[in-house]
Amino acid sequence: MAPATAGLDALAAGLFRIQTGEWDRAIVGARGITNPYQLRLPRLRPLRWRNSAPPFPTRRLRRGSGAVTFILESRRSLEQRALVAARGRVLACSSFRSRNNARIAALSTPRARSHPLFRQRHPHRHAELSLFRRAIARLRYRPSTPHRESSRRPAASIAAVLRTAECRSSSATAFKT
Amino acid sequence: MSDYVKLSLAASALALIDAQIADTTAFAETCSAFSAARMARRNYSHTYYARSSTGIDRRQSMLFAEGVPNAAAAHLSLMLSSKAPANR
Repeated sequence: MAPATAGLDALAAGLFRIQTGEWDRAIVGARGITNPYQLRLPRLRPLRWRNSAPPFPTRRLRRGSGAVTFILESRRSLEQRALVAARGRVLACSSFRSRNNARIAALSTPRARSHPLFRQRHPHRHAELSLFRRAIARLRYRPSTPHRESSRRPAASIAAVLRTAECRSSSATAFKT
Repeated sequence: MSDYVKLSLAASALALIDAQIADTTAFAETCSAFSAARMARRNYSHTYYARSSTGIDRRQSMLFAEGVPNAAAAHLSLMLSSKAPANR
């Protein structure tokens, strides 16, 4: 079983190879499918279905399944596509697997950097994930996974922050003009 | 193709559209792929063994052959005709 931070680890691996110049661009993603074995474990179910079988269909796509994809590019690769603006810039990326107490500094946008919640430091990864959850509380992404830990959840939080920060900055620009 | 791969390809296609990449073939020429999953492997294993449990006649060798390279990065590499490495 891969760790729940596999999405962030993949992001860190892609970032490392772009920083070293080995790659110019990479498609990095975290995916996950809720399978029937997970739903049979009571501790992985939501509280309301803790004592009974969850009413998930067996043949259709189950709730909690999802995929998040980032496209990482070096500055040189982005400059070749002159008309395209990046949604965010990767400043640093830490892997939970190697350093348990490392704080999330994975992705940053001007709006997200100035957010007071983003600046706080928490020593534990769950606190950091809750920090992201609080930061994206009003966003579209609503994790409905039966199990709490999934590889795509931190990646989805980052994607939601990136998309919303851009929406907020564009609306602010429209307001100023 | 499993749901895991379908979701992965759909998310990747949306990301390419969002990044305004018109010529995906040229972009993927030197583009590598990383795919992370925590429990997706169990999903397609379950698909194979669930059929096996109902009878050996219902076991499909093609399903097993799909499950072996059923990494999303590999399918993404095939979809985009990428020549760069794909990791999982």
